[in-house]
Amino acid sequence: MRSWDLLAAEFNLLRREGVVIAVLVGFMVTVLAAGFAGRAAIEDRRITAEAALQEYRQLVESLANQAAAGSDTARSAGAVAFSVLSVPVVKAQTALEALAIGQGDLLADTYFVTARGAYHFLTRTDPDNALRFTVGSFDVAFLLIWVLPLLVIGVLFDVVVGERERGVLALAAVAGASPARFVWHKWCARVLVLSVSCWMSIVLAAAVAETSWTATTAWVITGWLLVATVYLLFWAALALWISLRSSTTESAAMQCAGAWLLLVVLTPALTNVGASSIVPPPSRVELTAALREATEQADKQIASEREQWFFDHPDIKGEMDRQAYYQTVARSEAGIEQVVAPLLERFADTANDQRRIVGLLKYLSPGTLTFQTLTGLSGTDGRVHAEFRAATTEFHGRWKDFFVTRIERGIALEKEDFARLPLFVSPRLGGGEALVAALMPMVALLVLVSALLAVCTRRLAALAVTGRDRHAPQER
Amino acid sequence: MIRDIARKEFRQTLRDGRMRLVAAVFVLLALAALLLAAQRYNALSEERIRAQREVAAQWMEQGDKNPHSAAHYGQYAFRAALPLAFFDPGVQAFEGVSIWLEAHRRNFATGRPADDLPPLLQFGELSLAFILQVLLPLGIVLLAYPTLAGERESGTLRQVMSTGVTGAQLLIGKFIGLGGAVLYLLAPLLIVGIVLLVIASGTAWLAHAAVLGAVYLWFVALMLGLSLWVSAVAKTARGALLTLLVIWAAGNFVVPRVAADLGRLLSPTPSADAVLRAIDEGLAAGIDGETPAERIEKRRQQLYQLYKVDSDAALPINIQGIIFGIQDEISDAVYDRNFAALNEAIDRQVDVFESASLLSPRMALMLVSQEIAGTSIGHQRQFADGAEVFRRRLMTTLNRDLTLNSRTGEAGYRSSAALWQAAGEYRFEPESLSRSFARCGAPLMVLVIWTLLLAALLWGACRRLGRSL
Amino acid sequence: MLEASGLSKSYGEVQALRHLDLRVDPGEIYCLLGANGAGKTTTLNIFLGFVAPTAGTARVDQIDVVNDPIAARRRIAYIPETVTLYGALTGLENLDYFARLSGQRHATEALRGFLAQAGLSTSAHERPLGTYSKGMRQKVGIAIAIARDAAALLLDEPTSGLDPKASNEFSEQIAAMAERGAAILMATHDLFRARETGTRIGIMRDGQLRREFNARDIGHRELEDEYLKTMQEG
Repeated sequence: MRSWDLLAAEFNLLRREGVVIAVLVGFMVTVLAAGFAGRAAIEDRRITAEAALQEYRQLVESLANQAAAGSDTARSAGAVAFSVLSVPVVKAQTALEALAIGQGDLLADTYFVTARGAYHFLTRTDPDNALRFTVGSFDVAFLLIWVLPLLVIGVLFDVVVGERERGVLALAAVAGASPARFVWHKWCARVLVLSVSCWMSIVLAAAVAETSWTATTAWVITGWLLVATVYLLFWAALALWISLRSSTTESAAMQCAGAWLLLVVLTPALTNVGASSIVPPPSRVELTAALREATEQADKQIASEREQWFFDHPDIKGEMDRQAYYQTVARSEAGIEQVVAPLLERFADTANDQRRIVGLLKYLSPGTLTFQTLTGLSGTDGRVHAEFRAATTEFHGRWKDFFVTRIERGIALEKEDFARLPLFVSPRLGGGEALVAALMPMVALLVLVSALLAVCTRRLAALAVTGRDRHAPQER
Repeated sequence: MIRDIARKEFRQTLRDGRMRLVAAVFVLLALAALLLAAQRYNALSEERIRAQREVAAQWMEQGDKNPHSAAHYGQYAFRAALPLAFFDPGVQAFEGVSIWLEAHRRNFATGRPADDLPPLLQFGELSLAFILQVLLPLGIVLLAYPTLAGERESGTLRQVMSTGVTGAQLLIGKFIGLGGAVLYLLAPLLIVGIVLLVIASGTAWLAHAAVLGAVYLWFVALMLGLSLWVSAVAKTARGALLTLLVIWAAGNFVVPRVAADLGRLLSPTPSADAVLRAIDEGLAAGIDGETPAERIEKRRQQLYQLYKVDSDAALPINIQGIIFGIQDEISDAVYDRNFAALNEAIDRQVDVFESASLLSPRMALMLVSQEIAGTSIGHQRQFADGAEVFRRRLMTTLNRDLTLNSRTGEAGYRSSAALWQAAGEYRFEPESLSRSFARCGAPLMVLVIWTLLLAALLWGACRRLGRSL
Repeated sequence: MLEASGLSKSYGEVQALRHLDLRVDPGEIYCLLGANGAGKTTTLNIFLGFVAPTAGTARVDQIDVVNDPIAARRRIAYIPETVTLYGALTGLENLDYFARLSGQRHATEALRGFLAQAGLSTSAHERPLGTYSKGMRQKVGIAIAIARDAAALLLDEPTSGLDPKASNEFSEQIAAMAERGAAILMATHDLFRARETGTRIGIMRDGQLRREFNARDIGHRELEDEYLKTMQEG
């Protein structure tokens, strides 16, 4: 029988398996729904960030006009820097971010920078529904990592053992078809159907989730399709291998389910435990205590000046030297930051170290590997956030300098100064760069797939076309 | 007869290779999770107790200073690590562990542990609760799926039914036998868990552990019932296995996420920025139709009348303390209103999650487990509210001292350690079991509905058992 | 006693049984012959209460199997074509279990006696059933029937897959049970075994009992001819 005939026969069989078609269509619809959900989440954040930026621009304009009109507050660098103005610093959206929320939910995508110490905005935790974080996001990446393997297993686990049990392999052999060729065509046909469903799902989800298509988007979606295909091939190869070595369909199903549990659920969770054990994070509680100590010391250092004006209430003393007050605030913040900044750096270093360890340990599990790769492509794996945070810290330095210089020299703000306020430029993840970063993990997974398929090829060459009927007792 | 069936089922299950594999994996993982978590709990508990003592010492040793300076210095409230958090960490990784209690401002909790954890938190934490909620049901599925479907396929079921045993006797017997095997598996974990709990916290949390144990056993019974029902109605063992695996995967991984995201879609959490902006607007607008300036001026005039003076300087008290008090009155009301709105938005999301738990009893168990272990959103809120009550009391004490013991404009007024002591230090009080349990009404109702549903389904399966062979 | 009166069963348009009248007295071995789909297994399933008849009645010791299937089953022992039982339990444990399901409790020695009576060697008693051959499992099935000492015994293709020696041993066991007063109804393809073992023989086709003979009154060759004639009839 020609290859195409074998494939066509298998397509026909699949077409008649209503359950398989229903499940594949269900999967595609679910992925589409996840795309919508991701888009809604990203849109939400974008609207909030836009609103904050718009408000900031209006405030700056208003302050500029007030400064031009001679308002003391608007002209006071200290008042503007420490009491009035905070600039929203927004992380640039990455391509297909909506498909893989990753750490996007947890890590801030907007910081409200002031001239006060960085710890003010870096340690801020926005309130949200913690239950949602506990269960995880419903995004396309989740469906690909967790659900797609189950789909592949469901379609392929009995590709050999089921046919052997039904007696089809023996019949095919007698009819002149090589059992190995028969199985390969069956497998290929099913993998093709699964792959096409997967590709269509991703493309459709991307179409609904992505608001602006650029060259970067094209790179990233190519990456997604490649990664998803390799991941699918891994599970298909694994299902084939298990089906080859199992004596019953039930045993094959259980082994496949066990593999899924191990590689998608347990190993990643253990990787998490491993990474946080090897590189335990510094204590936030210690940070809090250190911050208080630093605050107290800074306050005591300038106590005599401070006591003349109630802490943070320069208004209640009537006549007062506003400039002197803000100079003490600037010195106080600098003193605190000197103590706290190294502690905060430790957190950033730990996060980087943990990411590096996860970057190594991810090769233990295709689930972790694919998850990290997909979130890497979409810029939600923490690396982009680390760059954003570093850029924010750098910007904070410039922002602070802009005001502190004027505070120390007693220079009032003029209208033109507001047009010269430092601007933040968010680092962007290049599509090509993301794709290149995804190459190594994909190659690793492909090597694994190739190894599995090579083993399967050998086994298929010695395939037994009959096996024990599981309900018939063994003859002794 | 039921006893004979149960005994045979128990014996057969223990001899089954699958059982040994499930037991080995399960017990190893569970023990590892238990010991790791107990160790983490001890470390965390010590750290938080130490931190709370340190900030209390800092408060007491802050030296002489103006009470309002002390008010701004404030205290810190740390959420203590509760012993059952080692069993079910709940939402704790995603909630702040400390709140700065300062003047004029109600702060959000900060220091969220998840911010410092590796980027694979999406895959879940390997806690004992996760193992019991997710992995144990999988083990039950693997043990129970061939119980009836497999016997039907092999013909053994016909032989069993031909002896005159009823469908009900058979199902009950199998339920008891399999359940006994599962309990046999859980027993060592239960013992180790209780020992660790008593070591960590004495007998104070044993009642909580007992309630948790009962609810988890209930859940195990539901999973067993569900597996038996599917096995009873499936035409083949393979069909039963696949159906149960799909139900398990959907119920544990898909439905919770969809429900959580749907909740967010239907009731988005206001951003912190929006909340803070609303608070600023509220503070500026004042309460009861009065701006803050109006309210202060009204009080000023009342004081002038009371003391028969016509200026702040002439008052025998420090009007600044009164002003701070009025500002706190306003800010308390504004914060209450806005935090309530924030909490309501989150509660509506949780309501969606609770409703969706009708599709997955694991979700209902999750909610109950977190409540009893003290690691739920409700408990975090109780911590935050308790800290806020203390903050208000603290500020009232400090304001009163400033008001009564100094005069308006007296810049050099200082209070000392006696006041700091009188103001007190923050102490975390865990919620009682009855209050936690009171929040479990809806999820427990879901478990009741599941129980009734499964009972009805199993009853139907019983009646059909003798006929569909 | 087993009695079927006007027993009919249809599955939609397919008439699996048509007005079957049958009676098996205590001590009788009634062999039902017929091709696949003739209605033999349907007849057994109705007596077992696994299938409800469309018309007519089936009784076991005067108990209507439809009105009181549990009581009827209590009076029946059943040996299917393939005795599978529980592979993880030993032969002895399987026998004990099925005896208890029938409401009987026997001492271990008595159980061993039943297994020995059924022809199972002592060395196999404590081995898991999963290691048994088909013949050995069949013997456990017989032992269960012996232990139950039921009023009626239903057998579905019991010698299918057994070698001639095992078939012969099986026939001897069945005869011994009939001598003890059981009414035995055996569905089989095995004409030879039917003639050797049976008291009466019935040939079914298309749900009907076409012919009945006393086993002593018909030779092997004649039985074969009658069988083929029945199969070729219109």
